[in-house]
Amino acid sequence: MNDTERWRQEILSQLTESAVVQRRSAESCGEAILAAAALIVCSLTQGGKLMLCGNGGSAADCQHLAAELVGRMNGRQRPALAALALTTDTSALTALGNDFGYETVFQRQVEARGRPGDVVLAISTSGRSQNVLRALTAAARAGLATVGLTGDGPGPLADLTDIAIRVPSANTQRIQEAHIAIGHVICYLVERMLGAEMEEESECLISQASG
Amino acid sequence: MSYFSGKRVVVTGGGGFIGSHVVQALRAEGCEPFVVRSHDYDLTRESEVALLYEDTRPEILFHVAGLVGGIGANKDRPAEFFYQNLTMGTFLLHLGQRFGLKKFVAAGAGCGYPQDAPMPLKEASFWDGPPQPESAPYSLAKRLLHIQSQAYYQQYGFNSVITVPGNVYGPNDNFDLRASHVVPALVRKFVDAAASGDEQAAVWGSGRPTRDFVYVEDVARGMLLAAQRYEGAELVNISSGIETSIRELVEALVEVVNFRGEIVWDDSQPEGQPVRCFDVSKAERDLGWRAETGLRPGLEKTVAWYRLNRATARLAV
Repeated sequence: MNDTERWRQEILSQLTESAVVQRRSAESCGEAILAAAALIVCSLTQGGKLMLCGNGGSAADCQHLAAELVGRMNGRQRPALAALALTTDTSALTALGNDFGYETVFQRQVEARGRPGDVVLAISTSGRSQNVLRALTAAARAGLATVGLTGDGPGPLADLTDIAIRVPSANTQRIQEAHIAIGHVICYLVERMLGAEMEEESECLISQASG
Repeated sequence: MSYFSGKRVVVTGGGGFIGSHVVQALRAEGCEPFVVRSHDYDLTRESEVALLYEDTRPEILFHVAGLVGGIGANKDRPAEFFYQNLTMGTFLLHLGQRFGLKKFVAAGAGCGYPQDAPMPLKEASFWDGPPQPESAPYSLAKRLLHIQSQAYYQQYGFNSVITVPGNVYGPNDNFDLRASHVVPALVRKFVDAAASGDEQAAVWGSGRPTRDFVYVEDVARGMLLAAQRYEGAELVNISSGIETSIRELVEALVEVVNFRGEIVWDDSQPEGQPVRCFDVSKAERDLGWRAETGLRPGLEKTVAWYRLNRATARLAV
């Protein structure tokens, strides 16, 4: 086999593996994904907000998903939805990291901004990131509900969340790929569920969103 | 322009379970109702009910306030259940007529139907026998409101509707284990069991009895339609008309909650009447109403609400 053929095989193998992990996620995480979307919808309609945190690629996912909700994914006009990535404020992140330690960078922001009835969505492939775990503990203390996106490893993240979505894989890249796909599905479900509510209660929802 | 927009509407118990959904449904119709809370007006005192009518001068009043609870609460406090529910209803309807109220809409009691009435329960059999004794002080107080409404229509032409819901469930329900009904009690049990990773959850009874579960937003919508369409003194069932066994309810909940443990049915515990189901053909015919929310989506919303509420409740601990 020459190099080109070997790389082609590798591409096929990796993309197929990614598809298989996502397929398995649909089978094992479907109920948790649905429950997470319903939880976020319930919070948003009651005037709550979604806060997201994670490191590296997961931080990028947080920003990506927050943008989907503040902006719009599919379909018709809808009110902006209150979603906030805790990974974007470099002043806060560097100050907290420098002065209090990196494990506090999300916790402190949850303490500052979290209100009862909000939801924290925490993303960690290993389920062991200290700053994410601390954010979840702070969220529970402050009366926030929590959703975790993680892999199937033994990390404690799943035990610290109200709803854990565990991608059935131990490969970091495959888990991350499934995470963003699941994140898109959650945003889609939230948008569709809110769309159904809005048909019934358009004025109510719009006034809440702008109030 | 909806029927309710611009009208003066009062909701008693508007901060409670069904009442909060009536308020939301009215707001969606462009009406900002006056919400009566128990600390503002004591509706068991005639003078305060008069004050309420003087202060608000409503055209339509939804009476959804009530002292309510499961069988346990009914057994512990039968006198309060009788007196509070009777006086609130009697004064509100009586003075409503005096103060020129155009329509009085009240939530009745499903347990007010005779214990041995044929299933599904039809409005025509509401008076055919005594209700189950466990909740009679409550349900008879509610039944008398129906007699009063008929009397006031006969003598004064006063318009009223008593809507009789089945087993109502949904967000904002009472999840306190001592006072709660079957759906909130089971939602709480399974969400808590799933969160703490329990390997077993025990459920009372055999799972065989059936109930008629109806989602609270459907009930609120039905009450608004009843207010809009009915003249006279009417009694109408507002329920799903679908019989669901407790076992089916538990199976749906286990899926929604994602509970991975084992369910243990405790046959030694009481489980109430074997069948409860409502005939909803009158509401369909007169109001064009039927329950639209299936059990599964209704439970999804209820579980989500309880999870958020549970997180908030951790603050109090």
